Amino acid sequence: MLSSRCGSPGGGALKRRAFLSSALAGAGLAALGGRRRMAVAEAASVRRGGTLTWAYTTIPLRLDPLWTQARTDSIIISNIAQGLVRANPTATAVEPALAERWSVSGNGLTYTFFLRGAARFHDGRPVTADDVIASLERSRALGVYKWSLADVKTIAKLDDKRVAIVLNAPVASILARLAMISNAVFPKDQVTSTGQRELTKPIGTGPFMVREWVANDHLTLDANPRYWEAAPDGKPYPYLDGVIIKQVPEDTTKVLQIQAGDLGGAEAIPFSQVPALKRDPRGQLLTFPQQQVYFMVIQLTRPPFDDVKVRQAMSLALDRKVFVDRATAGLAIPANSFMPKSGLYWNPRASLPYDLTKAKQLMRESKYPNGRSGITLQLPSGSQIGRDNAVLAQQMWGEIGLQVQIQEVDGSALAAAWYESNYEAISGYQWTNGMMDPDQLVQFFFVDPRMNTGYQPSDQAVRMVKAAAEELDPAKRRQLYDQIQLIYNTDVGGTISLYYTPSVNYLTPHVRDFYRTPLGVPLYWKTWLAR
Amino acid sequence: MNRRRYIAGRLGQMMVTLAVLAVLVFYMIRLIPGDPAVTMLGIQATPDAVEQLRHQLGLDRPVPVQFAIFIAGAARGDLGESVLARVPVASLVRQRLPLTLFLVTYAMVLAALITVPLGTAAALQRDRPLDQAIRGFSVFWISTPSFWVGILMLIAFGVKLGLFPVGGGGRTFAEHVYYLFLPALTMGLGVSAVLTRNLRDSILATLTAEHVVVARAKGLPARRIVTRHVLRNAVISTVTLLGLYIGFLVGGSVIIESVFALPGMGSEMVSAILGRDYQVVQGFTLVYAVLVSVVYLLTDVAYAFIDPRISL
Repeated sequence: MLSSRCGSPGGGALKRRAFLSSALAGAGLAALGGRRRMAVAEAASVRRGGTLTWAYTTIPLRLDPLWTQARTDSIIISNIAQGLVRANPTATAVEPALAERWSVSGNGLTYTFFLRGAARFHDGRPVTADDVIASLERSRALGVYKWSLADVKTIAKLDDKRVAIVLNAPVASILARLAMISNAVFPKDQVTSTGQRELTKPIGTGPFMVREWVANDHLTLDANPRYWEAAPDGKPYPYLDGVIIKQVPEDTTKVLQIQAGDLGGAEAIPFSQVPALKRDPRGQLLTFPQQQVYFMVIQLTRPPFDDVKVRQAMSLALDRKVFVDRATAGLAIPANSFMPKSGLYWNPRASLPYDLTKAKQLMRESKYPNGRSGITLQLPSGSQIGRDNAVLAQQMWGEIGLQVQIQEVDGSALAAAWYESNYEAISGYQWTNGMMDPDQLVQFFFVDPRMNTGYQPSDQAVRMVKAAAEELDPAKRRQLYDQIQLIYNTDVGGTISLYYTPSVNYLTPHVRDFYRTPLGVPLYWKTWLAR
Repeated sequence: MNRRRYIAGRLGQMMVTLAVLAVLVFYMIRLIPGDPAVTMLGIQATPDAVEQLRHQLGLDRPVPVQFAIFIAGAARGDLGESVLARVPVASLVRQRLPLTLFLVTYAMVLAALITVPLGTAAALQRDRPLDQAIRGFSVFWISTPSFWVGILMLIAFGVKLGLFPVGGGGRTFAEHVYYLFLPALTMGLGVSAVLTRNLRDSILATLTAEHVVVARAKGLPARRIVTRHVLRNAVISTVTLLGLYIGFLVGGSVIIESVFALPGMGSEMVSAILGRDYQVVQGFTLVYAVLVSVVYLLTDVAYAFIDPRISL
């Protein structure tokens, strides 16, 4: 497993106070006795109260985690609802949430969860085994994430506070899957009455509750006074009285509203604005590592991408350092794998080097020694990062005789073309992990839908993917994933990874201890306002 | 009586236009490549997930059935439910139309307040420095993109001087007037630039008209000649132009609402088109069409009041 990476890009983003309080909130409290005193002393300066206004390009369209697709939806719902377990703040391990602990049978097939006595719904009712079962059964039958519980055989009530989940076969990522927001717990009567329809006013167990939700405008959240998780000052989180999530589509407007004090903060500030904002005292710029990788998509069934030597040459011809500097103002990290760097089982020894001489040699040895012209590289219109990547790639691929034409296409039309495998190459696409375990990502790249690139991995590779999904020994699993990443790099399997991007946040100076996990979840409940 | 018949005829024409438009919009938005389910799922679109979502959104029903549902609903004033936001389109219209209407009206009022004095002054000071300055002003605002002006206004009056709020529409009438001043001014300046040139030329033409020469010869005071005999005649073409510009303003509100983060129809329309929210695009287009048709009708009726010679 990866160690916590507080010191990665974004520097002091994860402040010690935030890290300590989250560590205290998680498992293993006793071991931190000395540090706890320090944290309590620091907590004395924390100010409770106030409402934080935060802007996103689009606010949640759905509050039912079974049907959420946008990242914003799921990261906001993570502040409203919780499951049995959740990802820890560094997304490197699963930590207790509604279940205060769990046990696993010897064969790895039965998981018994012990529900937290203090866990209550927003309406005050205690969380029971019946609520857990109703919610998980709904998530197993319905929605776009039902694959996450596909290997579950039964979900049974042992008593009011104990639930047993029995699997058909070992699933190494089952805890990570249960930590997904789609497996959040809602009251049984709400689940039953909602049925196949969509939850619009979810009664969760999270630190915030929904007060008002105006589609495409704003979402007002109030603090949940019954939240189970205690802050270092002994009182429950959250520190804030509430959070208002506002929709502000224009990036420049977000920045101006923060500088004018009308907004507390916003995410997804364009990289090009970062250098100027860093020097501006009217706001604080915080970057957090996130499990996100930008890549070029290529359609392997079309020439010249059907030749692996051409693909290898294309990857070798890309100077990823230049991409990072020009397209992300130096904030991203050059990619070395299709798996995100801050994610579990990322292979530090994998590499995607820049070697123009070798690239030219591979082109000469390929089916297309004279290169190829007229390749169409499409990007979603309006995507600055997609355009920057396309222009750089056009230049670098030109060096090895691949002449690329750049074409901007409406985002929805391009998504449809990608889904139908009707394209040559696409710029501006990225993968962001919604789950802390690489299981889903690897399935998507190797098994189905293989990113709609027509990639045909070897049978051996597919067997390794399957074995890694079932392997319960982390060390053996790591070996498998290490191998899988090397195979993908050699095959150049339909995506050419460029770089790992951090989450860029801009805040007013009085917002304190804001933290975003590598899965993108803002821990609003640990954030406080200095005035 | 004539007037009533004219208006009834125009209303009939309007209904035909709307019906044709409804059919066109319904099928055109579906002809554009793109599927709401695939767009929403993005890179995580697997056939299974897409199928689940399409079913949940009601997109797996045959298109003619969807059309029948849409037309039957629209006839009752029910515009269907937003595919993305899962709320009735009619409630989105109720929620967002007032702000857009206010913004467009406000922009027109500001445009008129800027145009009349500037256009008149430019015409009366023909070819003198003031006229040159006003013509320069017109060229500048015609050639400057409104989103850029909007951002500059935000930086200057919102952030640096702190005179106006940066975004938001306000709740009360007074708040609307205050909050929407910068966006309305941005839109109004663009329109007034065109109108000012038009009014100047039109006044110049009227100044040489016989009835004005006669008024002068009779020794009427200059001010009275301008207000009663010149402006009233000259302003007709400007009013026509202002009416036509309602379409431009409604279109422009799409950009301005995004820049100023205003929860109006325009910003909603943009996200609906990008996300292929068929119901919202259909419903909003109909509402826009009704709005523009009504304004054109009102413009024509307004002539009759400005110029008694025009009968409807």
